[in-house]
Amino acid sequence: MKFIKDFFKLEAASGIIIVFAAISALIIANSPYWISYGLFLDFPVEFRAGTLFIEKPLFLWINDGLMTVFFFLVGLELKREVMEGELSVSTNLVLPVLGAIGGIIVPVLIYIGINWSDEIAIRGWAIPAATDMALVLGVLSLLGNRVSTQLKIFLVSITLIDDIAAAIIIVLFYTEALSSNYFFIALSLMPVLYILNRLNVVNIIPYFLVGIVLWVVVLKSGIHEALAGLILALFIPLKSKRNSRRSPLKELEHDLHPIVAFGVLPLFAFANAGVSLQGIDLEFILHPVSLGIAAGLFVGKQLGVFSFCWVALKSGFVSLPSGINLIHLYGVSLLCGLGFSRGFFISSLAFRDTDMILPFDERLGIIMGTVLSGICGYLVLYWSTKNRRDQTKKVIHQ
Amino acid sequence: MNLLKDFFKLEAASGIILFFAAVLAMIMANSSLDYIYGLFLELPVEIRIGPLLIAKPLLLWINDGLMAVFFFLVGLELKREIMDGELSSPSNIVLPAMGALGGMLIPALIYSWINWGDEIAIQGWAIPAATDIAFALGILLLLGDRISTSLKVFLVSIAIMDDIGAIVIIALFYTSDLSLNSLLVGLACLPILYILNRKNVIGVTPYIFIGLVIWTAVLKSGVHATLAGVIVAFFIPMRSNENPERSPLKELEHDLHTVVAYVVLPVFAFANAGISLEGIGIDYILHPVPLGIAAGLFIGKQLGVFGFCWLGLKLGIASLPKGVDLVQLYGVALLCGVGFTMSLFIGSLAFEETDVNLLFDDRLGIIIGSLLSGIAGYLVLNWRIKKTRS
Repeated sequence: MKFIKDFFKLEAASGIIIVFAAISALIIANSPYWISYGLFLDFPVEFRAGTLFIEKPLFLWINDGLMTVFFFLVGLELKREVMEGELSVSTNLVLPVLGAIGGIIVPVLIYIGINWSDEIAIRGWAIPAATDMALVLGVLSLLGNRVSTQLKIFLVSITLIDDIAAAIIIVLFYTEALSSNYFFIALSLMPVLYILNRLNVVNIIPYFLVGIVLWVVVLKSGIHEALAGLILALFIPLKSKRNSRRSPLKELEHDLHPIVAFGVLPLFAFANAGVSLQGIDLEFILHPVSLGIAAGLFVGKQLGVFSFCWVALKSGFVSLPSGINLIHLYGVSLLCGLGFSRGFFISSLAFRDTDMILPFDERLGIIMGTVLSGICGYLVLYWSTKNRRDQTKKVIHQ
Repeated sequence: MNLLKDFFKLEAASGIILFFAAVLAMIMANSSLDYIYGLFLELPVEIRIGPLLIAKPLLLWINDGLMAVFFFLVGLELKREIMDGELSSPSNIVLPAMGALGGMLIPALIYSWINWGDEIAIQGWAIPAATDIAFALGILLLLGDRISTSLKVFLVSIAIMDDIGAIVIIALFYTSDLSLNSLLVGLACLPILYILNRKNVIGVTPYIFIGLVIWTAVLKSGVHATLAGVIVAFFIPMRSNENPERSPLKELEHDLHTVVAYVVLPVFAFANAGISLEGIGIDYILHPVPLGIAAGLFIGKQLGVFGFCWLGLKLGIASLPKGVDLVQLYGVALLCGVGFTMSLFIGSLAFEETDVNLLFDDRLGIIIGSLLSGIAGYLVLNWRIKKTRS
């Protein structure tokens, strides 16, 4: 239980720092210092080895390079949950999986409905499908001990499945022209990782070295390189055969978690949230792209997550986890609309390559949808859960 | 004891792989594949972050970058030995310290004497002062179980002291014009490392991040970049406060040792040992530089290590480890003459930057001196063991 508690604590603190990073980016981008913000993002960073050449502005190193570390951590979490955690029991899986599916399909349909016929805008269809786990847990932590651990685990399960779905969407729909040569090199690294895992190599360094090669190859193949992190993570052994008390995967997860929570994600939010509000009026907000995202996040997520779960409950083949009622479920559905940094990530994939001056800023929609979902979700949960400390006091008085 | 056994096993295997890497390099450099070998060494690798540019051929990335990992490991070993290993009790230190001191002084003197008056050649004075611990130990372990553990520990102690000496020499004598700004950036990182250590931060990632900054700063400062590895190593915590059974330092050392033994050192040997023998005549071997190195390694090392140890014993300030006699001591003194990768490393520092087409090849001397020392050391120890058996 200590492991789970640490996890929640870290994620919650991270959520607060992410919000701070995003707000400071907004402030800087709209202050006289916007020039240095732009310079920071465009700072050129390049690596060359013979004919191999990787050149990106710092902004893309953060979005592609650092996010690989994040997806690596997601992969570690996923493997642990599937092998011995919440998701290892298949009945625990049904409700969060249905919720996550509904939370992807309905927002996407709403976005497509609003942006039908605009060829460029339609590229952003997956933006409202994503949920920011750190931010969700940050909002939950504001509710303190009103929220039960079951509710937290349920929410984490939904967002984790959502993360996996996002990774699949990125590979299937946001992959540029695939270079089959590099793709085959990447595939040929899989047996190497498999052998390392089979031999129960506990030492992380070999995985790390193969991982770097994998990252470069995946980058060059045209698939999004963050995927390399997710794949690598699945090969890290869960148990050490020599010393059964130790787990390389858990140790790595434990070491990486604070770095991702306090370094990677805040930096990512800072680099992506700096929307210049200059010249923004009602027209910008009502542009189909921002409107579609905001509606997808706020309306689509709650509708999708809640209705899919509700149908499953009514048909009777699953039941609610103990201590959770339908109103709690509705509050959780609302919180799934916190797309934020995950929405930024997908939007950077969807729109960055068009390279023209877009008549909209999709980030506006992400922020609006996220803020609305967060406030409503907080209020619903605040209203529907009682402060357990007050309850105990009452019992004592009686 | 398990730790010690694993250590010896790994070092021995590493010694054999090192040997093959060097032979492979020699074959490639002297066959029709020599242009591939050359292309490999000169492959340009560069990293640019805004105005910061690090551009080197692959050979220098191996010598400055990979060797920083090696020296990081040396730093970890050193810290462990000082805090709770062989070097934690002063009575164990005296004899190997005397040996290491003599093994650096005499070879350096012999080299300087032979090359006196040649301004370029004299820069290589420290080449024969180095000992390749992996190779020396590898030869010792070829003798199998007949070698006592105390003799192995004794050799490792000398080699570690020798590494310290090499670190000091690199810092003091092979530093090109110093950039104060970069050095200050490096220094500013030290308090951060100190705080990480004090807070008993166990996760290694923060140390790696700061280590990278220090490495870059040291590289740009003109001091040799490998020293960054030693410095960072000293700040890795020895013990975890939360869980006293675990030691971040030992775990890291254990993980890195394999990588250094099987990847870093063989790659280094491969990149540095490929000497083209084309057109090499007797006058090449008799050139003062290779001659001084070979004589320093083969004659100077045995004279220095054995002489100084003998002096220490006669003066009564040191005593022989249990089960070690004077002949075995002499065999170990010979093995210290295997300079190989360490000598190649110092040689690259001494001569690489002059950039003139040198009339000599220091590597020839290193290989001859190392070979002679290794063979002679093996024969002496083998003879001694057989004799005690019968």
